[in-house]
Amino acid sequence: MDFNFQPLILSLELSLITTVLLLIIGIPIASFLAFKTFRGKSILEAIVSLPLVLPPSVLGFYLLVAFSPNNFFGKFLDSYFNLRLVFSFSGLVLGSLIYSLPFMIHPLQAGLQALAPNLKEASYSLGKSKKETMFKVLLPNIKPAILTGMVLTFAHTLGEFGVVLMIGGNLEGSTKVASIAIYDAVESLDFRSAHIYSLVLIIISFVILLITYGLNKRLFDNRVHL
Amino acid sequence: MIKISIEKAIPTTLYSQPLRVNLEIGTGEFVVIYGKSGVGKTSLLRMIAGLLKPDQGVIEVNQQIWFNHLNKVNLPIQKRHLGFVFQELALFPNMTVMENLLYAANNPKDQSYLQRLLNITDMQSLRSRKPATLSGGQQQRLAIIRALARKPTILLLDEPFSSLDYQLAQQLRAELKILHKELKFTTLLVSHDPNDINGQIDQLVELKHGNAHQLRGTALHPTQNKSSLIGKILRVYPFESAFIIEIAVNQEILKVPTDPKTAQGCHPNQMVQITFIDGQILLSQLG
Repeated sequence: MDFNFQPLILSLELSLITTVLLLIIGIPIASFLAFKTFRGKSILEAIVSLPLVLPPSVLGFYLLVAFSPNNFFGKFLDSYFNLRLVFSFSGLVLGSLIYSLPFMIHPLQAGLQALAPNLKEASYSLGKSKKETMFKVLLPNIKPAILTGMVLTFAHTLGEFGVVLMIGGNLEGSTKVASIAIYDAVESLDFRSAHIYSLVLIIISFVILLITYGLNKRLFDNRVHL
Repeated sequence: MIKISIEKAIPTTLYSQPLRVNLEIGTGEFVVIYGKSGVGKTSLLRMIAGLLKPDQGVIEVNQQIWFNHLNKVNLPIQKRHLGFVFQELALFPNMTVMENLLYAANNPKDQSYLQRLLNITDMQSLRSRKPATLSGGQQQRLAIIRALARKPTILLLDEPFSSLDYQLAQQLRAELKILHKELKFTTLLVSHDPNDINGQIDQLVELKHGNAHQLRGTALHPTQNKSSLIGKILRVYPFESAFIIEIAVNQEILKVPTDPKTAQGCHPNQMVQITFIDGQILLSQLG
């Protein structure tokens, strides 16, 4: 048997980093989509949703091509930033950010759109800036949506397989995440390891969802309808 | 002094011509803008607040230009230093009563002023409650004192009492008058409810078919021995050699005797102002 905890830890690390980064990136994108009307908004929304419907291998394939040091973008990153995204953990993070983008944006956007529009106007009328309004009024009133976005992103990244396989490969300690480790174990007929990885993933996913639903219920119960 | 002279085509109005408003409001005045729904009352308030851009014209408040389409001045709402009471209140659900006030206050350290607001509206005991746990009247009070917390030069109110029952609305109208008397902010109240026009107000503006008619001070200045009521004519009928006009004021029906000539000009559903001066009764049409 070839079991160790490294792939599980790597998976959790990747999910955590992706979730935190996507939350930071997601808030401005979601508020832009929620509050602005402009030409071509549908195009932007379609691009954000694309990872939902694309096979992960398509995304992985293009990322692989883009990151490759033989091509312009990859060469540029390599020579100016000394950064190789193919078969590296940073590449996985970037891939996951794109792959899980809709899972963060959609809940945030829906939450912001569901807020009464004059909540924002009331804050502005009190002399508050857009930034202060966002952090003190809007975001605190969409806590359930933020939580949903974070959990979906985390869980979705945890279960990522196709993209990782394409751009990450199977490097112990840097790109061999749990889902890859399962595949690898099955291929070498090590069913025992596959069982352990799988069971741990099921338990982690279930506990995360359980906590989320419990928390969300509490948040919703306290939610105010004016 | 507030000078407003603006024009705006509003696609949602019932009328084809644009909303035209020319107003002059003195500092500290209590002004009611009256009109049926759909004539553009809320749009007018939103333009004064800076939430809606007029097509053309000028808004000037205390010698400061808030809007001028000619030299493209359009002060953002944050810089207009006003208080806005929204029809839907827009209280912040995540904050308690006190937190709503502290967020709104320019100078959160000046707690004595906030305490005074809480005292006048009898909200002192509710300071740590969230808006959702307050009654309709308490939420309305909070919306008003939150708008006053930053000591605005103008207070704008959009149909502030429309969701309350008559008794409670009357009580809140009285409280608003007390706040106005004590704190002396200029007040612009928009309403379609005749009850908002009764009592002491400095100016009545009727919005009608996209135009604003300014009725300045007609029997509304409290200094002289006169007072006035506003109501809707129900019917007109002959009585002996005179006529009786039945007018619905608030929830009462008043029977006002008048001469045949005046009676001729009165028709059901007209809005009229009844003015009492030294024992005389004057009827005047609104709009």
